[in-house]
Amino acid sequence: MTLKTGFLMLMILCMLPLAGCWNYREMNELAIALAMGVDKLGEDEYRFSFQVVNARDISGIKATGRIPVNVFSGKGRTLFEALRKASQKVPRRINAQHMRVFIIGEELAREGIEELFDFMERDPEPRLTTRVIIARDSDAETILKTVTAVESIPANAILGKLKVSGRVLAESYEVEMDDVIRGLLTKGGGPVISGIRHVGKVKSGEKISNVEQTELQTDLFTSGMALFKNGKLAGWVKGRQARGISWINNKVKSTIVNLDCETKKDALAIEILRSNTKIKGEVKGERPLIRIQIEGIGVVGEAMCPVDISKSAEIRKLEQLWNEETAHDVMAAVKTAQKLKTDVLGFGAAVERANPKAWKKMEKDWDEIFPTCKVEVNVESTIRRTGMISKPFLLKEKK
Amino acid sequence: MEKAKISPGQLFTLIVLFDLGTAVLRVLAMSAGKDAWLAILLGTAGGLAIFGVYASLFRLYPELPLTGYIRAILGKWIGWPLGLLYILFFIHGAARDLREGGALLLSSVMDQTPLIVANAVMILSIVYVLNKGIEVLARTGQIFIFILAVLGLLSIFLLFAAGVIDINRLLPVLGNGLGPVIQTTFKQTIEFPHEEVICFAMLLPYLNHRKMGIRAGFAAVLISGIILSFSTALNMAVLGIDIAGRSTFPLLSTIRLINIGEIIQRLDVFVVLTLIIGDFFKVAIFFYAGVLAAADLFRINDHRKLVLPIGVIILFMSMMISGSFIEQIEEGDVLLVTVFLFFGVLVPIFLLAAAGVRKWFGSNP
Repeated sequence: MTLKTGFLMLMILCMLPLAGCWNYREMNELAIALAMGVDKLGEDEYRFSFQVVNARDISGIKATGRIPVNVFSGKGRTLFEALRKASQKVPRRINAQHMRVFIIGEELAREGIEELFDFMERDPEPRLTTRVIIARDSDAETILKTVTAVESIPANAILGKLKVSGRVLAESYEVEMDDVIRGLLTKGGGPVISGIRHVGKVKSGEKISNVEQTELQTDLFTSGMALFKNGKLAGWVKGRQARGISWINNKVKSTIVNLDCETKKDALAIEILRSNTKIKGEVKGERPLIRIQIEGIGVVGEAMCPVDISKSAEIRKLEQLWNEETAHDVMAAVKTAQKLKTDVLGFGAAVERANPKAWKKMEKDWDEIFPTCKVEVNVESTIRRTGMISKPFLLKEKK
Repeated sequence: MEKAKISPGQLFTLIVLFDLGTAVLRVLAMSAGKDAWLAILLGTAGGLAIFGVYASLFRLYPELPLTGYIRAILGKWIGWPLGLLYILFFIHGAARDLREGGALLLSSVMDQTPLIVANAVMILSIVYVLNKGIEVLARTGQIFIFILAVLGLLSIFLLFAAGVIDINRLLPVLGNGLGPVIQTTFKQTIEFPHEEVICFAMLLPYLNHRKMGIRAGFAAVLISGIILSFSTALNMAVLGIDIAGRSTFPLLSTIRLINIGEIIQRLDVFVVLTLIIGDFFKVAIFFYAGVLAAADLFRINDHRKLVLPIGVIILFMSMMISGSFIEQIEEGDVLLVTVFLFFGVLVPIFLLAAAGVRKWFGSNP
């Protein structure tokens, strides 16, 4: 046999492996899990739940009107075992590639979440862009089982709520898995993870009848943010404190700040369009000084009081008030974090950037040093426009 | 030697593809921490010096490949066995890179496929190209470097657009001082991937314009060093030093974070293509250097006769070379400062010195 014929035969042999895929997984053999949740069951055992899509029920014409998702769960000492145990209940192979939200039950969060993320990083299927959420006051499985309105797939509904409220209200923000992992590795700190709360009766939320009414009896709301310390949930923040956390971590895309005007409290709303936060550390003596610099651009969104905002002097005053309000939010967040002794604000990283040598010394005792950090907030905000009208009509009535 | 010619531009492409090959997929120089990119840049200076040694040897013996001038300088009795060792070195290098590429492919995408299947498909396509000769390999390189450049630029653009890059993760620069950076430079980044460029000492005689070819070689080493430094910095700025350091395949983890409006996402294929293309050229050039060395030492006129048998050896060697990927990486760290250093740096420097001495004393160069 000459080299040429031998080579030809090899090429023909090549056709066998090249024509197909060794690793094939057909679509109709997969159960695509859009959301997953983990709870702790007793000692060292996890319950891993999956919200699996019924492809037929989201396809339009062929839809049967049933709930488009089903929830399955498996138990195991490792997540992988629990996932494989679930195969006893699911007729197809569970595929995690399209997981959009990953929910952690509060009880588990209080005991520690560090162990959960090894699997997410190690296995090629889950993606680090998956959003992580804590099930506030409930377990992850309950959240997954709740049928939602507007978005028929609950996973998408949860993600939608998280996204939109994060972008327009800024009292929570989207946290991806890689953010959580980086957070877990910060010295003396931890990640910040948004929470979701289950409202109403558990049983009625599981049925399709839940969405057959204009106001849902049972629903899911985004609610506050969980601050972690050494991988364990240390406490919740909400409202203005939560917004302060968003300010410091530079996650504010847009929000509404209410200002006092004239004599009326919280009567003028500023809509923030853009903001940017910079944190700088400085080490002088024992207590590091953290400088938080926030720049914001906004417009007047609503004025329920007689104030003449057609004058720039008045606008200056409002900007000043807005600066104070923002600084107030930020300080509230700082105080909470310092009280919980958890550096979720990236102060340690700021000190390290500013003075790596001093950080080397402080690193060990950062838990103790962080609560003593001095913080200086400097807000520079600009009101650019006043919307479709200038003076509020209340101003004329007064005259 | 086959009667083929490659242009300086083609040499440039081959060196860049070879240097990036498997290196761009991994985070190098982790022992320098956040300053890894700096260590790689410093290492590139060393890489240029190493290429300088190869270039000087080439200038002295422009007609001969590495195994040829070893015999010319050291004589037949030392030169021939040393050349034989070089054949083993090249084959071993090809097998290592084949294994590494296969292992990465399997751990990230094709987790159910046996390693030997992935490696066999790769080696068969390389055997095919090498049968066609160096000119075909060089032209294939010109096509693929274009694809890689487009993928690379697009990825960088999308990473910026997705807003996942945080420069703060690279700060502070030199937080631990210059010590670890210098140490890493000497221990790792000068050696890898620059000392492997010794393969090109076998290919340089094919150059059609010698002077320009040498310049193109220097440019290629410099540019691939800059690209490696940039990609390492990018991986760290996106993932953070901990995730990047822990990841088997950091470039893939980085690209996976691109998610623009839930529409532009899942660009894993970019990285898998980079892996396959890079690994192809890296293995092919080690392989070809081995084939040429064997043809030269054993006086075989048509080197093509050797391609298939050496290919089979490489395939089986890639399977036997280590028990697991961990072993492979551990071995790599040791080999880098022993075997690769010996064949890639020490021997060429010694050869240059010996050639200089011979010239000094006026005997025939």
